[in-house]
Amino acid sequence: MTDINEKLSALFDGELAPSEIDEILLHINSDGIQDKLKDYAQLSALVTNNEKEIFTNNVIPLKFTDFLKYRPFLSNGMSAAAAVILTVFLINPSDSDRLGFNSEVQSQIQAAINSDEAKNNILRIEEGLLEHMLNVLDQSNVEKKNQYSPNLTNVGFQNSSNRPGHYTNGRENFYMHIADKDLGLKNVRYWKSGKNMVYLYPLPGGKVITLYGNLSLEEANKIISSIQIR
Amino acid sequence: MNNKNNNEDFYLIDKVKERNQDAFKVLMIKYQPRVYSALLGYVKSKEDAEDLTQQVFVRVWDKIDSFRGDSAFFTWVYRIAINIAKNHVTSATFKKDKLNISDDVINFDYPHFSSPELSIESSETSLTIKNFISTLPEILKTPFILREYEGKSYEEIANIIDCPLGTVRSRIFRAREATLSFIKEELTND
Repeated sequence: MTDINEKLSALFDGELAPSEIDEILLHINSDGIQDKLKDYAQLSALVTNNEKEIFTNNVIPLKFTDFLKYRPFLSNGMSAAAAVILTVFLINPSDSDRLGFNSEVQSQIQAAINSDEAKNNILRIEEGLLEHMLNVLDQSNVEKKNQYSPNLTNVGFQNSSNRPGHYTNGRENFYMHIADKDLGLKNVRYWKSGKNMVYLYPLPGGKVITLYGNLSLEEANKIISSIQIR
Repeated sequence: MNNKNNNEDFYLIDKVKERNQDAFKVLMIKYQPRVYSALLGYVKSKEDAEDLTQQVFVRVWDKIDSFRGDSAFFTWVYRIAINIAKNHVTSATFKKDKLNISDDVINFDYPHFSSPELSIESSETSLTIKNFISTLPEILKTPFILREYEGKSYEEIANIIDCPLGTVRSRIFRAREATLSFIKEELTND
């Protein structure tokens, strides 16, 4: 039995010669053979646990429509943006440095390559960010009386009087949202959303500012730098 | 996955193309946990993941002739799995589809991995097992880790640890058996 099990182990590893494979196939329906192969297969899945990596890659493009399909609890209002395609990017480290942010995201990603636990953490953060972002996109079409709307004339943007949170400089337009939750965000992140961009900036005190519009990263950085958050 | 592994898959795949059900059973058992786990990450429901995994292998059986070996076999299977998962989410005819599998496949004894102690969703179990592996004697641990974590072929491992191929095969087998014994003794709830 040890001999056949050793061959099964080698079979699982793809290390058997065709003649040995044929021999195994002759016995594949015997008692215990398939169970032993299952044990090896499941043990391998357990110890390597690499199947999740495909879902935790930080730079894979994610179609908004696909995301909605897998998150059916999202509000119906989300469907207004259903054609949007979101592609996840990581902020350029030099931009992070310019803003005084650390490179924790890059470190997390590096850790994710080496650690399954870290991969899972990254995934949870990513899902939270996406959900938040989708909510912001949805809210951008809704007028809210208590909408956070700081004065941005010092960086050339005017607030639209009848649409709190919406700004324009005649060429670039964006919507600003501030949330009292950190979303696990430790660094600036940005996404492409059709022709627009979504920027998420973590702030001291566990807040996150979201900018959504046809802004360049440079403009977004300038806007954030001009805001005095209390 | 290394080339040797792929080569062996091709031998089995050729047999499956000849409609050899035993060869198909081997491939199904070998890849089922990975397919299931991938699908579970996609559909978030164990029941759906199990149903979809079965569908994946039905599709593999039906479409095996279209596998040309341009990629690793699992990559090809994985693409099928993701397409099925996507269709599942949008298709209202999913339940119906499940009943329309071809007759020669429906007779298969689909492999079930029901051992609770080997639940692949449990990160705690996974960690416990990894910790146990770290306590294995060096002569067993090293080839086993090189195989499982690094995907090295037996030949590569033999070169690294400077011992014959047969010894590598034996040590990896013994490491697996020791780990499975540990699981049965320490992690079974019975």
